[in-house]
Amino acid sequence: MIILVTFMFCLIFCASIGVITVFDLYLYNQPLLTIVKANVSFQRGTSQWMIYSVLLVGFCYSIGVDYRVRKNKKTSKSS
Amino acid sequence: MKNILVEKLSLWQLFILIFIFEIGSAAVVSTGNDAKQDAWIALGVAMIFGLGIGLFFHFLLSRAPGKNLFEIFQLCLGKWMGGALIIMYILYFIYIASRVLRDFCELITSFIFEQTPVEFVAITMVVVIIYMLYLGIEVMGRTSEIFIPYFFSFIIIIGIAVFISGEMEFTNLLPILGEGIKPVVKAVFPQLLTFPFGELIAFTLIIPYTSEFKKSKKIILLAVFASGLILIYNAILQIATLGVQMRARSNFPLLSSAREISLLEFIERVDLIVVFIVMYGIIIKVGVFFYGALKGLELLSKRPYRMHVVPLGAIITFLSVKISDNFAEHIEEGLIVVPMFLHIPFQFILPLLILPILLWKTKKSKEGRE
Amino acid sequence: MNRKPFLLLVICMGFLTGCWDRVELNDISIVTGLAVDKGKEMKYKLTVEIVNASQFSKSQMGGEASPAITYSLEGNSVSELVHKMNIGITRRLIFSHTRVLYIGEEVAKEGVLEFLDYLDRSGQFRNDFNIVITQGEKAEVFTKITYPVQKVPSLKMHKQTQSFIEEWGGDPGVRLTDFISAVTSLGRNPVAAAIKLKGDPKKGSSSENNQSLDIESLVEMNGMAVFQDDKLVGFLDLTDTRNYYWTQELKNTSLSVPCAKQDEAKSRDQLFNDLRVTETYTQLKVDLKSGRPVLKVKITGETRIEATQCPDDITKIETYNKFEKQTNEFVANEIQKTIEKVQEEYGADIFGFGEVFNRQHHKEYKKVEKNWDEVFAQAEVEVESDLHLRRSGIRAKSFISEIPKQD
Repeated sequence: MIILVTFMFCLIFCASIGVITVFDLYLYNQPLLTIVKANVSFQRGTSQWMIYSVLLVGFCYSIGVDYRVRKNKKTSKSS
Repeated sequence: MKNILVEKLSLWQLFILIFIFEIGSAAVVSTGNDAKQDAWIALGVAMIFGLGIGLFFHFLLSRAPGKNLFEIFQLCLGKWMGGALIIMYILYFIYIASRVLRDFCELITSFIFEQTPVEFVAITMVVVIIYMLYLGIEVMGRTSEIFIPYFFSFIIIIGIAVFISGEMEFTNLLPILGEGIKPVVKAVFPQLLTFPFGELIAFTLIIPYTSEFKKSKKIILLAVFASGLILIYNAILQIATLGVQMRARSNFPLLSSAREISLLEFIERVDLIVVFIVMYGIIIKVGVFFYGALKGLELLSKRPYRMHVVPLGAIITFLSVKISDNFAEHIEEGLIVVPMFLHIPFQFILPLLILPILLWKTKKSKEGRE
Repeated sequence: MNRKPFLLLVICMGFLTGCWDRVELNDISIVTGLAVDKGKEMKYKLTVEIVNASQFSKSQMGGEASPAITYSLEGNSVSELVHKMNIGITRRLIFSHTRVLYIGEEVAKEGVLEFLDYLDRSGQFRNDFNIVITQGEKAEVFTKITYPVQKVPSLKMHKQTQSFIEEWGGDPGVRLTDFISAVTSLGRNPVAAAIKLKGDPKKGSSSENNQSLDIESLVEMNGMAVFQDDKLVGFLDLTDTRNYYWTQELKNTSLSVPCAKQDEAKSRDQLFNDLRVTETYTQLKVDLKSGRPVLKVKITGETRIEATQCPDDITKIETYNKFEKQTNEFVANEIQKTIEKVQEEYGADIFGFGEVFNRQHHKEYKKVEKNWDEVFAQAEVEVESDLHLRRSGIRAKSFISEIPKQD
């Protein structure tokens, strides 16, 4: 597979959100949807924009890495 | 798999890493509160179990020399089952890394930088760890070699300084085992067993890369023993300085006790050196868990783990903030949910389940070779 | 032959220097405060407060001279007065460092637009000075009250409002352009900070005021003034000012939220949670409900517990949830009360709901634009607060919860 790093990034991210959602479900007696929303949604008025931008940087980086790996493969094949 | 570098860690570096890893956050957050004034006894008991845990992990690894825990999984369970298990372990490591990071961020925002958002503290810490791991686990080992004298001497000095300041009341430690052995047992199992000592599981991904695997057994035992002693020393220090009630009420008792230091009227306000201890401990602890997760990703994606460092670091930063909405949730999760649902299965049950399969497989392969 | 570069040099000298507007330092005086009052015979009485610069040099600290000088003149326009000041003052006045503009209550009641035009138009004034309305005394009095730490009255005032905004937020934080754009906008009415004097104005004007511990006269923040168009219509107290500022751009504040039931008992008998709001963000919205506008305020942000008087166990999630809920109810209630008070008493939209309405429902707004204030006064208000309680300092349980109870 070509996009392994990005794929792994997305997989791990979604799965870890799942993990904390399960724990929150255990601790709070709230419906699933509210908890998922609280875990994923961006709370305005807090500094959480920082971690979202870090996440974006991580995502872009992984795409960049995949792109570079692909390019290297192509050049090594052609040479 | 050609471009995956083989890294070697010297035994001394392994010792240091385990030592700092064990002390890391355990020295700072209050541990063993259930045992009240006997928390130090509980720590001692937990340490003895910790030695057993270390032996067990080493035994597991020694059955398949040169392979780390994840490779053993794949060996035993095949590609897909093993892969699924590895992903679960990756999630476990990431989750614990974020928890540890959050501990530190809470400490910083509660004690020192009250205006700085947690997010920013988390980001700056992760940037350092990313850089360290990008250069490899060897760099972490070498950095620790530089820092260990400070780390060790600061911990010792805090105790001595508090003692000389006359803030210690050793009567706080009495009565020893006043309520029998029960509270101690309660504190050891499951909390103390899993929290500083069971987390050695992360080292099953590092130990195979030490230069001399055979000698590493002694080193592991020695490191666990040394860190256990330091933790006991710390617990005595905290209880004697703060008293049981105050210690239980403090979110970060070591820092609170360091605030009592006032020597000769000019060595005062030295709590920042505690922050140094915590900071380095956290860097190592997060780094080791992070490395474990990276090793898993490396095995699954067949790409060198350096490629995954930045994306995974971003996830850890994100999780460390989102993991809990407030401090109470963070603590309650840490005391109730995490030991039962994460630590015990991942530290003990799964490796124990793997062990018979591993023994069977290695036996077969040995027979086949013969 | 070589005359060319020489000539060029001379020409350059003429064009590159720009010494037409040159002002030497020893020819000017720096004005830090302006006070506008109603004159006895003429329209305005302008007071300028000039820094005595020699008082700031380190070598002469603690000298006898006063830190600032004030001078008043009466006239029909501010701009004329500004240039006439040399009737009593030696040097040319420089206004670019003005810190505070004091406006007397009487002038404000009659309207401030007429002289604000000069400040707006003139290139000398920057947009960084505070506009304050003086309550009780005349505006000129406030330029004469010294303070030991910051001896120049206007500098003290400026610093004070700045710190106050950062710490608690009981100042509307209004600058000249804010004020003027609020005056010109149909969907918003201007506000300005209000100050009052505590103590005797006579005693405050000499530097002896600086020599006592319990300062005998002191300028205090006292909420804010509400304008209808450009005329002062009334005042709001400090808490209301904070609540007003919360709907605008508040960053930090502190709250004491009762943690028992709110209805019974006086505040003296109640138990409180002391909360620090560390970050907030406010969203204003105007929705239409069966053709009538509904004013909506949504507050989000982070808080931390600074202290608690309640016996609840703060290590429990339920306690956090309970406190969070109480805080949100408290904040929503507070802001709702403030908005309703403004609606009832003044009927002036100082919050800028009209502007928001214009952006969201342009066509509907155009219909009511001319009498927006009346529509505002009758509109329904909905305040939603979503503050998150994050942490509780370095102690887990409060010792209050551990005191053994004797039944």
